[in-house]
Amino acid sequence: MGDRQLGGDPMIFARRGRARGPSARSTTWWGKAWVRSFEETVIEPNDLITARGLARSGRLGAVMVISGMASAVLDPGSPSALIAQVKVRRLTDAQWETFAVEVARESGNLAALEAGELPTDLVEHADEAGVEVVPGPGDLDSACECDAWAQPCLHVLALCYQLAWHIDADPYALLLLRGRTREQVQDPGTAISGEAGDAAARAATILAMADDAPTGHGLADTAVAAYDDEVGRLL
Amino acid sequence: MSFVPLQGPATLYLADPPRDSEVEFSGPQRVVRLPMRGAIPVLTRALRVGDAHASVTLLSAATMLAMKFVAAGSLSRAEAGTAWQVGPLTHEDEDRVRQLALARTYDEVDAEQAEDLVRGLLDAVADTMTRQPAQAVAAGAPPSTAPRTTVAERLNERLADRVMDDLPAEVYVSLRVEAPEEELAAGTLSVVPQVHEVDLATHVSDLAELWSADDGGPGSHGFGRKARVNATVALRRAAAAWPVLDGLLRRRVPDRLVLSADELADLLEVGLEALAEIGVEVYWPRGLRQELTPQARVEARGGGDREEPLMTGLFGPDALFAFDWRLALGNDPLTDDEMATLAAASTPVIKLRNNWMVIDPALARRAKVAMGKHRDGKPIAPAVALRAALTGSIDVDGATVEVHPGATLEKARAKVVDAATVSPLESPGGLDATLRDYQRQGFTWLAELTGIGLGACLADDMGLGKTITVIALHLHRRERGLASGPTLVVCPASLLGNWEREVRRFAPGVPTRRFHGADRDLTGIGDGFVFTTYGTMRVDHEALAAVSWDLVVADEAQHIKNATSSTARNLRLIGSRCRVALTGTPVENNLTELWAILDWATPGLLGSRNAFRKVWAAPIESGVDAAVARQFAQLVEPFLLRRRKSDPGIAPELPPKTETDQVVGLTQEQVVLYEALVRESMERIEAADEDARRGLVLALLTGLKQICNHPAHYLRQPNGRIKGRSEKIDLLDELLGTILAEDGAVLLFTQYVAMARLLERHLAAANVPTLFLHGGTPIRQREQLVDAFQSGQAPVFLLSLKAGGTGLNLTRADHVIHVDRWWNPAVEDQATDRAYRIGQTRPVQVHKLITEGTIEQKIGELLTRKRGLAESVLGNGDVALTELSNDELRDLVALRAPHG
Repeated sequence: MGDRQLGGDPMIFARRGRARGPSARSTTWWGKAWVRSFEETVIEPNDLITARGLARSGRLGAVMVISGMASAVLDPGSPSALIAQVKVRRLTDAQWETFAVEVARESGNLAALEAGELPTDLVEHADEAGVEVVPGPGDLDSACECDAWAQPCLHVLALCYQLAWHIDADPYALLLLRGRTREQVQDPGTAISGEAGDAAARAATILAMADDAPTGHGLADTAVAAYDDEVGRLL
Repeated sequence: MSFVPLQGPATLYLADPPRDSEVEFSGPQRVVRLPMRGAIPVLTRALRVGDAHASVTLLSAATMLAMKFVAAGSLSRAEAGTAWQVGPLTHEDEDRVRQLALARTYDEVDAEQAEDLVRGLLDAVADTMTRQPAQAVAAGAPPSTAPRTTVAERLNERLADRVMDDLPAEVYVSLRVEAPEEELAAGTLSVVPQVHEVDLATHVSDLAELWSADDGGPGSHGFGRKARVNATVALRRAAAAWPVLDGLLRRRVPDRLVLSADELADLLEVGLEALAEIGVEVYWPRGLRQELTPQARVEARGGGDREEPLMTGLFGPDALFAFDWRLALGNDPLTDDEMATLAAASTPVIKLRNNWMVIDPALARRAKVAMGKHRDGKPIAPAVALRAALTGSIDVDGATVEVHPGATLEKARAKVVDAATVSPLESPGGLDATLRDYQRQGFTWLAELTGIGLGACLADDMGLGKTITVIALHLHRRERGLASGPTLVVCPASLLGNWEREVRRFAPGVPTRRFHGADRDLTGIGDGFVFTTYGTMRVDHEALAAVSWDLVVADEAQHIKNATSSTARNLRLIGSRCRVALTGTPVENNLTELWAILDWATPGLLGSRNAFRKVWAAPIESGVDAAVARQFAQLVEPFLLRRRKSDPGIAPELPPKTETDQVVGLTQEQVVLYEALVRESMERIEAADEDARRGLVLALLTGLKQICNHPAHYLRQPNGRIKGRSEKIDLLDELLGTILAEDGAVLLFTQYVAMARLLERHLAAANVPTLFLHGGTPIRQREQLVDAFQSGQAPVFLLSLKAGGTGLNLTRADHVIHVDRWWNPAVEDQATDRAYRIGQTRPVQVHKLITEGTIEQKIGELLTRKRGLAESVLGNGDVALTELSNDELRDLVALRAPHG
């Protein structure tokens, strides 16, 4: 749990040094489900073994997770550094709303998430309501600066394996990949998600600005011009 | 941004998607047509412009409303395409739209047109605010659920966030038990989780309150937004400690959990402790958890009704005690019916005395056991009852329970504890002696304990008069009519004579009988004293057990310290009303030996040997638990009375010098030698002439004295076997054992160097360090020996020389033993005075070993009877005896049968 940041967006997981001993497989059911998903997208099965080795080699830099995407730099600082990215389809606002309803169904759900657990019941109920919390193979897309023709490339797969460790430790990382921060999951009433959430925040700001809006007509009025400019930037 | 005219009419041009709509502002000089991104800044400030055109005002008001909807999250996808729109709107929201349109109509625009304009603009603003087109709606995606609250409320809530975030969110949880009558009647109750502010425990609210805040504002609970998550996390930790609480986490709002009877039992048995461990407190309604305390009582059967006289033999063989366990509310014990109710209950919730109570299941189970097996109390042995009374605890089914003695038992307990300190009884009338104060106290102590059927161990130092104390007890029991049967004294053979003499001397007229030797016999025993040895008792215990003894006394009770020996086992088979153990050695130093002696005196008091080892001996010897040692002392002290000569209360009472004749018997070997010597010598003496006669008489006397000492002495066997041939040696061993145990020192006088050497060899074999001084010891060495003894290098000083000579100062000795007689009191006194002289701080005890029925005893009697005469006659020792006539001489030397 040392990696838990209980943070919002982005979540940054420190670089893992070279791992020794038995390979660190995912230990949670949701971590394993995540691994199954991206492993299915692979064309050459041997790549998985190579990618696991790469994940444990210490060559990957810090992993950054933002809403809908995770990225890491391979061999950071070297001339051959590459950025590997995995994109995850975000749940729609409607799906998040449904998820929120499921979360609220039992008061223990949030507590479990806070404790680093993704309750099975919660995910199953959400699934029944049409919301797949764990992304399927079709929800994943990858991008890498390397010139491998097959995607996902080794670098992205290594990133995915490392993500599995982080997801194990903190399921909020998985939820962020699906589009919502911990804050938003905890408090869906205030965190209107995605575009709507963004818009709501900007609208609130505009409302606050409008309270003090200049009352002039704008002719050669710098205050009016500044106001229009400010508001315009929020649109 | 250039000048935008607001005084002229403005026109909204709706487009698809709505974000592409435009607004045309017009003025006297110019017309400006702006896309939504340009128009929105203008419209958000136009309401504040005083002379704006009504059409501008309408659009402006609509824009502000749109902003409010968007800010409150009221955004949704349009049913077709990729556009966003406001909504879904509640009825109240719809009302606001209509009110706005109605309020802002103007000449050219009626309410209906105005509403269309407003709705159009709402969606145009909404679609513009989202910046990006909405994703295509997947087929079958669930429709958005309508919000439960109005936009206004949600907006207020959002604005209130700032306030709520200042409120405390660091919280912990506790549980409040609620017990409405109808739940209690069903044997259940509820727990309600509460949330407390970490920094202010009195800031408390039901956890469920944190959910009610959804309906607007920060709520009255005064907790911040984060408090809810923090509290559920705390609740989850509580559920990990006591899993039944999972039920709360399964609820949408963890408001309350009704506990089933089983769950309640689980809470009481494990939950409370587990929750307390992680700091989750449980608050009970007043009265529900009244203290039901177990009250374990031990009492005589029918206790309380007994009158004082029946105290007699309270702990006797027929005594009945019962252990009774019941619960008490406060100090008021439950009735049998109440106990039965409690025992039969299938839930911890019980109505008792018209009050609901919650009972610990463990207590209920014990009540069930208590009510099941022994409704009237579990019968227990008197000794166990006594032990419980003295230690305040009892072992029940493997558990130690605190116990209170009932009234009768408490009275008995007090009697036992006070026995050694109550005001002393009068000496019994038949006692022909005056008891010293401490002897009276000791006698009273024995009388008190034996009076209620208990045994005791009197462990006074040698010389304090244990024998006379027991004689007083014997007489007392008869005086009070307590006795029914004779007193049996079991002692080492060497002490038989002494006992007999002391009883004759201090209780004249009391019948005495020896049960010892070949012609031992118990027929016709009515009352009085019977003396026997441990050896005889061991082989003849059946005959002894057939007598109904009142009192059995084990003198030198260290003989039974090995409980597994046949001596100890057989002594236990001899029944009596009460038992007294006497010993001069500090038995309390060896717990196993102490157990053996006390378990004989009061069987069962200390529990079985194994239990004793486990409960007392092992913990005490390991020294871990001082409390155990203290409790043990409480248990044992009443039954063990040990006074030291050096005790401040004792020493002043002791005479500086006490002389005791220790009478011992002759062994078969000694009898044969003695009689043969008398027979042969008398024949020769009677036939001898005057000169020869004197020599023969002296030789006879010397020979007889040597035989009385030891056959090896007479037979000149310096390396001959010593043990088992002379009771003087046995008695000496007894005395030395006690003296050395007391840390005393002793002078051992004999006239004969050969005897002294035998003793030296005997003691060396027993690892007793000795010093030896005789007439041939050079003066210089004598001084060294004296110094060695005075400095404590050896506890035994063997002396074989006529007293006088040099001024030996041997004040370290507190005992003097004369192994044989000088037949001259003055000489004996001088010898004794080696120890008893200036500088001596302790009382000196003088023991004179006298063989019974022999010339030693007869001359001793002669000396006592006619002291004046004897002194003149015997002034010259043996020589005077040569003047006796043949008949007188025969009478003097003939072996007299022992008393019987």
